[in-house]
Amino acid sequence: MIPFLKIDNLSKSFGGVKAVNDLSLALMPGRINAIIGPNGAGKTTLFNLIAGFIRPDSGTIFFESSEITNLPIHEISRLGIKRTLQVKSVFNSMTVFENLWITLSAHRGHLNPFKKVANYRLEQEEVESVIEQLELERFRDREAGTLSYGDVALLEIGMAIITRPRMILFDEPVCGMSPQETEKVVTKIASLAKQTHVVIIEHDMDVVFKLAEEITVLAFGAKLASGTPREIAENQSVKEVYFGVDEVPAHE
Amino acid sequence: MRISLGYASLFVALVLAPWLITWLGDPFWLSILTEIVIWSCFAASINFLFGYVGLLSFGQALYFGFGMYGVALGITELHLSFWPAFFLGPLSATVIAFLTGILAVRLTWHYFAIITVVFSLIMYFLALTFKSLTGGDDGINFVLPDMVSAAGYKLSLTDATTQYFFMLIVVVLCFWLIRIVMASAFGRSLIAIRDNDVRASLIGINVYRLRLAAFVIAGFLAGVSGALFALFGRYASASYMFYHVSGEGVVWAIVGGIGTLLGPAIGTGIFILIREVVSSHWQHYALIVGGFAICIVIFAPEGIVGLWKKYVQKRGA
Amino acid sequence: MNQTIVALAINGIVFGLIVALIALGLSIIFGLLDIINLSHGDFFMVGTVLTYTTLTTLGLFWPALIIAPLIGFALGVIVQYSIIQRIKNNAALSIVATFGLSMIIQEVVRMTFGAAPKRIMSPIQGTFGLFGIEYEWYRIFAAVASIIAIVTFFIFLKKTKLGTWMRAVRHDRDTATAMGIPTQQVYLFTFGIGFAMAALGGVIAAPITTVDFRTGVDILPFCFMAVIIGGLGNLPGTVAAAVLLAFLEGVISGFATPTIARIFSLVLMSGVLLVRPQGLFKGLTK
Repeated sequence: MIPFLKIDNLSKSFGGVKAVNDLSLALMPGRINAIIGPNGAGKTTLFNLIAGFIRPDSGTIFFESSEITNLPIHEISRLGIKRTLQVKSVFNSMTVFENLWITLSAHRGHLNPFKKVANYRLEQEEVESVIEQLELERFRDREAGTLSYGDVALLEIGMAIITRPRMILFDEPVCGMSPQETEKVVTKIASLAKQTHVVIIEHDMDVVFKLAEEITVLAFGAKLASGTPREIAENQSVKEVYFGVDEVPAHE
Repeated sequence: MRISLGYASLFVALVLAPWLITWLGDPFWLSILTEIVIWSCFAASINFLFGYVGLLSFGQALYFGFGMYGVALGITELHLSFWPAFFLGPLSATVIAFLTGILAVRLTWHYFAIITVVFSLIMYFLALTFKSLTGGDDGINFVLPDMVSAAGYKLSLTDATTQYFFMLIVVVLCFWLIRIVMASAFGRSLIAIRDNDVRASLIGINVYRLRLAAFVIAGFLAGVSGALFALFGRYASASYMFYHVSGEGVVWAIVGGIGTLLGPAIGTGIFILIREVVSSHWQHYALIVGGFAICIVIFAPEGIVGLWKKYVQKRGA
Repeated sequence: MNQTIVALAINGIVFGLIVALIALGLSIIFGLLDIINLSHGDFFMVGTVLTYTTLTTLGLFWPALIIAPLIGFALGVIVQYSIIQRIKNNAALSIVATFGLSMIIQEVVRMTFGAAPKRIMSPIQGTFGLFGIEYEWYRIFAAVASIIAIVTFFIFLKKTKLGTWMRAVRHDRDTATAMGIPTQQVYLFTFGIGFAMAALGGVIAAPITTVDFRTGVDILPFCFMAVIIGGLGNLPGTVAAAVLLAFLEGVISGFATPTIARIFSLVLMSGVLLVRPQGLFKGLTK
């Protein structure tokens, strides 16, 4: 079994600070992977590097055996790699429906300036289906900018899954959500894992331990440890790097 | 294609205008209405970039100028007849829009706005330098060839009504084109870029290429406007490439309502009417234009059409 | 012919120093608030007009050096307060607002001062021999005055509390507010200073240029060129760029025409925007 995501000796500095420091990791398919670590460990930078937002100083990134190291954002997106952002952001002036529609249409490269949106029958159905899945029906025609934070996050997840991606990078998917919303999102992500590779960055340990089957811990831009949730919970250096105390925190 | 009652009635009003005006007595107003039609297309080009793509161009006058000179020089230097000259205007504007766009679209926001002005100033000064060809600020005049001249039947823009309808049809077609394009996947992608260009990139949109395409379309629209204006005045002048012209267009578009289809037309109409009505009584209409611009920006930044939409929404709720 | 080039070159440097003063005013507004102030050139023009008025009413030139900047400052504060602040410093709308303001200012001047260009007599008469030509004393004064004003400005920025506040807000607005700096007041003050500097430039330039309601339109692009080529946020760079550009334009217009000189500067500006948007003088930032 080959890893779906293989990173070798990846490094990135900002100014004099090494955000990612000679990082190597390999994530195996078939289970939800979580990446955790204290603030500044380089988690979001790692996602930025994978998704093409920034270029690494050195090192390589392989997705399912093809190298994606220096590709631009939209090409990486076309390869079926999607991510959600830490600061939720969608297309505010467009409705929920349109947000999902445009995601699908962009992925398929629809650029015909003369064909009306309403005439794309197939895409219409797929959008309706995702709206149903995420229970966003009552927001279908509401401008995304007017939605609550939790609903925007759901929309973002919708935009991530509608193109049936090969890999989704979730950056703190439940950040700022109520317990009910969190519950909803966790269930959705869990069900996704059957069809796509899922990697999550998360601070909420409850969520991490509930969802993840494999956890990688980053600290100071490098891999500190990886293993099952059990192994990580008992790992001494992990405990030290988080709080220097005897217990892994249950909540951040 | 469903056309709303609003658009339909507007169109009917515009079609009936010449007879209304003759009935009212002064044919001068037909000429003003024609000018409004021409300049609406210019404001529409600015609105296309700013309202739908989020790029504020302060240099559309450049493409307007190319549209003008395409027609004028086509007639004086290349001795083209009406239709080839008329197509040469927007064509040259489109080509130049592509060439400048390749560079300009690499920048965003302030730098984009600034470089559009810089390009238009460079062209303006080049036009002044080649005064023998362009006539500089004084411009060049030309004799208007007939539109159609065959088998004894002649159709020419020297007839004010013919001119009005010709230009009205051209501009209505342009607005219709804008509407169709914006309702398509291409148009929606532009809106996505405007709302959140990083996100747009994330979902697979090639932001640079689409912005360039939009820039070229806007250049085309400005070029059409310039070509019509040349035909209208039977002349072309470098002074229309100066940033003041672009600036006025921006004011018209914003006052009319950015991001709306008819906003540019309404804004243009208001300001040109103000200019004509006020300047016959009072010399200082510039104060009104400036004051109006400032007030709209403070009190109603969504413009007149924006206000109207809000009003309609409230009534409907 | 050689001597004309020399004269043009020196004129260029003199003019460049005056423009540097005006451009600095533009730069702090642009750099601080992200606002493209299209009326900036018109405040230069207002400075020249106020000088003319001072001369004709008081019979003296020198008071204008105080009066014009004061009025410019007051107007700047008023504009920020009544217009820019009301649109929450929105950059796009500011362009339209300042464009409208520009139209109003030009028209008001046209109404009161008149449409005909006027010239005023230099307060310092006389010339002296320089490189074989007769060079006006006033221009030397203009250069010196500009230098003094520019240096005073930099000292103010560095040494005074208000100046430090301005630098802090420009650097990081949110942190500055969090530290308790009254950002709104700083904005008001920045606008005031910016306009005052433009007006002062107008006073200094008045005897060597025409007093006409349209002179703002010519000087505005030049100021922007200085700001961009010097590097946004790089104040010493703006000064260097202004002098360099004016010098180059002066020399080029000796060989070709002023129009071609202007084209050269514009092309240079495009190059900077596209290739090196941080400006040509990166190393000079404090």
